[in-house]
Amino acid sequence: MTHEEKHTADPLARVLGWAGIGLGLAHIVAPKTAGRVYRRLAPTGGREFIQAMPMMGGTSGRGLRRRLMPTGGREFLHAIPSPGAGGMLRGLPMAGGRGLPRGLRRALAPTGGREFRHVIPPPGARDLLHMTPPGTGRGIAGRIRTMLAPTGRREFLHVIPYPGGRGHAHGMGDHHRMGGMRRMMAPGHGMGGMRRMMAPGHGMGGMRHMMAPGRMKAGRGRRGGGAGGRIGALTAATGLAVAVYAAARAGRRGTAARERQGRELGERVRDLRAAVTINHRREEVYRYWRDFGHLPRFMTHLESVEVIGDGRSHWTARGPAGKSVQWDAEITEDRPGELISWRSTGRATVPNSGTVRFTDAPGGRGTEVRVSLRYDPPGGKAGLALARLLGEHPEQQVRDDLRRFKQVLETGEVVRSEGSPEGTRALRQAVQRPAQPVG
Amino acid sequence: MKATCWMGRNTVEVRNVPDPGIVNARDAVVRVTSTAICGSDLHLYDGYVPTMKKGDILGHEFMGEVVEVGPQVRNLRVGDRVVVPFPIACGNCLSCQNGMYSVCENSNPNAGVAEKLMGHSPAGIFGYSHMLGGYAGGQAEYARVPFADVGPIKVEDGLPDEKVLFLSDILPTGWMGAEMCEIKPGDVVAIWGAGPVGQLAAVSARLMGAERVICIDRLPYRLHHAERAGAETLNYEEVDVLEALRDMTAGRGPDACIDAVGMEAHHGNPAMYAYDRTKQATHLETDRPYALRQAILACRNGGTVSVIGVYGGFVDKFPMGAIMNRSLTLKAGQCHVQRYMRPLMDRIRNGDLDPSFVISHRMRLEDAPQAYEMFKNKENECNKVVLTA
Repeated sequence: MTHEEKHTADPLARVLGWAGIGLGLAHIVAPKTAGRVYRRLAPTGGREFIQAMPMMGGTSGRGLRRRLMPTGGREFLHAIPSPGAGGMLRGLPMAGGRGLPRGLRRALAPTGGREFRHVIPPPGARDLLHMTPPGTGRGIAGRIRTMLAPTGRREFLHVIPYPGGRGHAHGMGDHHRMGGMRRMMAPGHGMGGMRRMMAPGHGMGGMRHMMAPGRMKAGRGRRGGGAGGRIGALTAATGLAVAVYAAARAGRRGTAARERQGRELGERVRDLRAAVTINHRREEVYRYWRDFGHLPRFMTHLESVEVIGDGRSHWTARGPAGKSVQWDAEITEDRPGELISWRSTGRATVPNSGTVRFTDAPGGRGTEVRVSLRYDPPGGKAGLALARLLGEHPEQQVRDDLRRFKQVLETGEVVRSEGSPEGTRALRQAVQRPAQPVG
Repeated sequence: MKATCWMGRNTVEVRNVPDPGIVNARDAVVRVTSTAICGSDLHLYDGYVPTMKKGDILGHEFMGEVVEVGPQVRNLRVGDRVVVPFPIACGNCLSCQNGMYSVCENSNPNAGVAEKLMGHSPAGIFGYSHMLGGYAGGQAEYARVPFADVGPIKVEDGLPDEKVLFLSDILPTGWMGAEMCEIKPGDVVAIWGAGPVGQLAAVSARLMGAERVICIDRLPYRLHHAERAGAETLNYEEVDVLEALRDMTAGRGPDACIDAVGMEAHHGNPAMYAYDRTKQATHLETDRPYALRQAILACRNGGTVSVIGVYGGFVDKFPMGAIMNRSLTLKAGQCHVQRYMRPLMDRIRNGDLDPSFVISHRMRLEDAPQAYEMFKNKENECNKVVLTA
């Protein structure tokens, strides 16, 4: 079918061949054209990717170009790395792979996600590869480079820990290194972030093939040369682009709805923040929240909050797997119209505390509501990772809570659609009903 | 009830689904009397809008008779005839109160998904993907209308469905496209895409006082419609559009350019078409922006480019240099329909406007699959299909 095929003799080459086939172009255009388009688009295709800037004008063949290209510029002849690709990486949420993530993929992909299996490594990755100084064994760049070395060696198969722990058994050895890598690649999201990067629409589906269990035989690839090597380089470049992107993203995180490890309080405590602006007066917003009995109306994980009096209350929440969790809480600070703080008392299953602040939004834009929550999740980090795999992103939940809070205050109730009949919910957003009336 | 369901790329089926009921207190249920297929429905049909799900009921242009109202709906009664605007808007948030209904802050329960793709979430829309709410659409026998106390407009004086149906989307959309051009006396307005929205944008631009309106398309029957709407026409398969516009405006370029095409633009040159089509198919970009690129390049220095064609995600080769260096203004938006319904209804009533000229086919709801196929392939000079139950 294409020129890659004859190089698929050994396992590695077969894996790489998969990625090559996954380029998708062969599926879209005639095989003959595929080669040409491939050369255009592939990062290994040649110098055009290093020439980042479009060149305008020129005289030769200008008439033809002007007819062909809106700007008459040569940039349209080059398949320059698309800004869209980076955006797409950031674009759609989560998942890929199997099981529940696949459901999400189906939900997000217009055609059920099949087209997302085509892989096109983001062009431009090769540039990044060139920029990384060779042989630096230390530091992020060096480590990524070593691991992603475009030599067809097995290291680069291990770059990305597969969600669920499958597929990285070989040679990963150093647990610390893996943790570091994972954090780098999956900022603030543990494995969820990884799934996100492999998500539909990111053009990265091919990574899944490489990481799929059973394809992980640590075969010795052929070096350099032929199509296998080229595709290897290309695929490695893809991985590098993902890593660089993820690292950059890790550096950028940290404003609204932020989640971080509470270092000074030990690894287990989580700190969540989110904010929303509500088109109501500050006193009204404060008053609604101050009656904790209202909280279950917009905090869907709460079944009930019973106000006992004297600043004390009894909370019942739905825990993981439908188990009910209960605790008592007390208000620790209450400044009318400004701030409410509370914390759990006694031996709560999930010790937690929270503060909500109310301030006037500028220029009559209503009230800014800022919530920070701190809690000690059951099962610690493992429990959290599991929860994330199940689609329960705590930071998303807090954001959703505030979205519903805004809906309740501004429109009178939680807004429901046929796809999300329960209203805004992280899990439901991942696995939508069809947009049909609920029977 | 019967409803037109999206069943995958290039597949819609009219299926039996549960009847809708009141879910939120501000809902109404409408028995649909007329509904239309929009050009933007073809983006769903063609599979370019992410987050569609098998079984989704399509349709965001519809009107009908109120059969049930929620306890908080006080402005409507059972039996009222209403036209329903396509963006779902609460009327309470700051955006709604500023007249920006299509970016309502509360009507999209799946805002988190839209935020991932777009930074912030726009309003929910009937039958237009789960990213935009996951609401069932109106190409059905019945439809639930959230925030019925804000959106739907009553038709009280016996105006026929065909004259008022397009208040739901394409008439206000075309109108807003022209309004964003801030037309002044003497202005030349060029419109890419002579489909129903482009045709109505042409009518609107003329009403707003444009000296000349030039519509660009490749299908003779659509260009003919545009001529009837008072526009001059260019067939981009026959002429070089940029040169023709330069000629027609003696080198200035149109004062304002409207993109009424959107994400699935076609290009007269197969190589150019293949270029973006390939990138789109391999997810290096989501939208094919030829019309937009050309509109930007054509626009006179200091002019305005108004985008009402639907885009979904990311475009490549966006001529930002032209916008920046030539002091262009770029305006865009899903139409804030609720803002325009009443004044446009008045214009229909007093005879300024009659958008029913866009209708080329009247079919039954059961025939929706054939209607989509015909509209997509532009068979039988299909300009606009109205379905009745």
